[in-house]
Amino acid sequence: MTFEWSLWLQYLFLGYFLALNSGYLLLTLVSMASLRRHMQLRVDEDASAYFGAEPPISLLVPAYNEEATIRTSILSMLQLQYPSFEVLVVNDGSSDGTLQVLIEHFDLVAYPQPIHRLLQHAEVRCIYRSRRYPNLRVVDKANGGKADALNAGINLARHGLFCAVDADSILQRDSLLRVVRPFLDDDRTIATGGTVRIANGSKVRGGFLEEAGVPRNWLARFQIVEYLRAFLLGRLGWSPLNAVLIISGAFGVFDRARVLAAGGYRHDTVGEDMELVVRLHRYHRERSLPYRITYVPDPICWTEAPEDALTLGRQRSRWQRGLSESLLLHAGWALGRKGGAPGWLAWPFMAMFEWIGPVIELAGYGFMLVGWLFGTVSLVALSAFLFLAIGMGILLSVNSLLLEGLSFRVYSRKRDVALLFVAAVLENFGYRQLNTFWRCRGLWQWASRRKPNWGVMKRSGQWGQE
Amino acid sequence: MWRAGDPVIKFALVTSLILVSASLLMMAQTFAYAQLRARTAARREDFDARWRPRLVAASLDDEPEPLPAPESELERTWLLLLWNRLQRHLRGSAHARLNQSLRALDLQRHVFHQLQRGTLAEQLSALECLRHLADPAYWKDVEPLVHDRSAAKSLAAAETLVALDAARALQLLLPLALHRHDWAHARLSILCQHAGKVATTPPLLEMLQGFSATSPAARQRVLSMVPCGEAAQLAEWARRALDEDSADLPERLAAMGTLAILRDPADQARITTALAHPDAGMRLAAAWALGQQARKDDMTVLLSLLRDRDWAVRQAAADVIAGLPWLDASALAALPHQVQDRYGSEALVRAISERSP
Repeated sequence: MTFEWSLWLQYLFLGYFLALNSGYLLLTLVSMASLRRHMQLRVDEDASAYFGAEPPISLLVPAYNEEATIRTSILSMLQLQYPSFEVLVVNDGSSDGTLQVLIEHFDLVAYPQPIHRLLQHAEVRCIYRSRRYPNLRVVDKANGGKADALNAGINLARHGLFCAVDADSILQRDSLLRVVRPFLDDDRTIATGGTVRIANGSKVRGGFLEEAGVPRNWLARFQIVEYLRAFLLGRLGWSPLNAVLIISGAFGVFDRARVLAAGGYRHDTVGEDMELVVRLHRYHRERSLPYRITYVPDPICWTEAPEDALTLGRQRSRWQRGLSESLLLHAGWALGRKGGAPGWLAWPFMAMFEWIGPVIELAGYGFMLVGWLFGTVSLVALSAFLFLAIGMGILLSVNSLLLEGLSFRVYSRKRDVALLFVAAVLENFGYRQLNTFWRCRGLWQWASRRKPNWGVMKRSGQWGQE
Repeated sequence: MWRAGDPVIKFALVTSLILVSASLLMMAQTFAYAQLRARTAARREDFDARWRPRLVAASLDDEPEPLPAPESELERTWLLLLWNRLQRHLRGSAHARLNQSLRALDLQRHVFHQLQRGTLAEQLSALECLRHLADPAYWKDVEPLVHDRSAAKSLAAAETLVALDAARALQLLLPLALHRHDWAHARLSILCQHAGKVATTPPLLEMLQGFSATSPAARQRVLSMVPCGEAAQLAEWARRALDEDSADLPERLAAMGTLAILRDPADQARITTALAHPDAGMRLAAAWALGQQARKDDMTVLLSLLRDRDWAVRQAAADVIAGLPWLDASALAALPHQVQDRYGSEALVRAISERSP
């Protein structure tokens, strides 16, 4: 009987990894076709083909304790190459000098802006406008979290599109021009997202990234590979099916009216970015409204990744909580009649391989390795498992690097490319398993309803106040 | 306990080996392409560095040095891409000189070759090149592509036709646009902007006259192009739409937008009537229209809009009042105290504050 159970468990874990890797392989094929099509339509690097015709955008920048970098970040955002946009910084009750820095450096004065409370949020203390930059406003409010800050921003936004950007993110000068293209090309577009890349190790000057580089820190290197895999294989694969379930909170453009109709950001989840996107799918599918949520690989938002295991672990546990909340909140819709591609394909994929996947993965490692040591698992079975768990993992990571090299070639130096290839291999020996553990911890925290701990991210301060 | 012969395990191993092999193949192919692309990109950078100064000189000089012929088909393609990129930013005589340089190199043949046999990217590049050359003789080569299934290609062809002969192009394109649901409103609007109001208005008027016979989706399309037409020529249609009961709300909104541009005092009554419309969007459009031609007599009406139940209407009224040319700073400052409605007063205070330095 024990042997039968052991055999069935082997079947389970092998079957799971077979399904996981087959799924990612399929996604990879779709991504490659999608990327090829995208590069054909791109024709040339120049993004200014329709300069002047792009719709105005409100850049919403929630900020909490960003004293060190806020001046440079906002200055760089004000220099973005885009015909018409405003920058709306929402100071979410910072306990440091974030507001003071903004007031001093941008010549802010209080002005009596009434608030149209279409979405609820914490109390707004004061609204400022800049005498030097007419398209800059700052909202000072009581602390309520990122979702709360974004909702305040949505209420006060002047334009039909808003772009949620993290205060510590770096956009490229043409990021807005590129990310808004789907809105020009397809009337049904309600949201688009670009690519988030790791800025660690890169040269940053005046709030703009001058040259991409690979950091010395191995955790950061692994994250570069991870992000490439997530964006170039994951989101690019789902986009043609209109089944993108996440637009990164660091960089996404939304139709303000549609987000208002869907109820804005939820306050009671740590994964407010994913939850909004899933809810947008649900809202439109339930009402049979034509819509598209698109991922565009060109526009880049650079962000600083944690370089210590403690902060990274907290981040990954928090993301897993966010994923769990977002998926479960909309499970009924996803598997129902109106699910469509996002509900019937993307949702189960995410649920199987990202949500409960870490538990199966961790259990699989434990069972197969311990079983082989004790003789209950055959060498053949273990070999198949390792091929699937580690071998395929390496191949998918390497493939995402190659796709990047084929298309955008952000890392031009051979040394950097070589380092990333090494990271793509080494990632699967330890880092991936650690990640799986953190995600399991996140699942446990979600299931036990523990209060999330954001912690404090140690910043390298590379793009401080230059 | 080792069961080497277990069929399921064997199957799993074989399948995993197949997956690994497939991935390795994919990887090898991608690696090969990536290497090729990296080398090609380096050559292209080199090419651009050599040719950009030559093309810039050709655009500035009335009698430039003759340009050397590109050595290969690939270099001809790169030259066209570089040429297109420069032309996007040039106007007037510099633009014309660069056109001349392309003709001197006899690259039109390459352009037509790309147009007829090239990949999608090459066709789009060729269409852009023809757009810059803007020779009406190219019409017969470009027109068939407007009917292509690909939205990207058909729109690129449409833009080229507009450059070749705007009036003739819009006669063809606007009726076609009613059925091309893959042509986004924004792109259509850009086409009309590039064509200009003179070219856009006649076909637009024809479609507005046959309006009632079209489907709701087609009507929406037509109305979205109204701002691109010449307001003076659309005036008769706009006034009729506002006077007749048969016109629906979207048509009335588009008509009110036209009256706003016209600024004709003869439309005052229509605007005032619309200010009492049950739809907030209509009242908003009317508030803006009134703001374009407001006189001192209209102050009472404008102040009453500050009490409107709709947020956007109140804000628009406040912006209009704050921008009235005959109100100086002290008169403006006194106004909020005269407004009884708290929300209206707040809106006005905001609008006035935004106008001060």
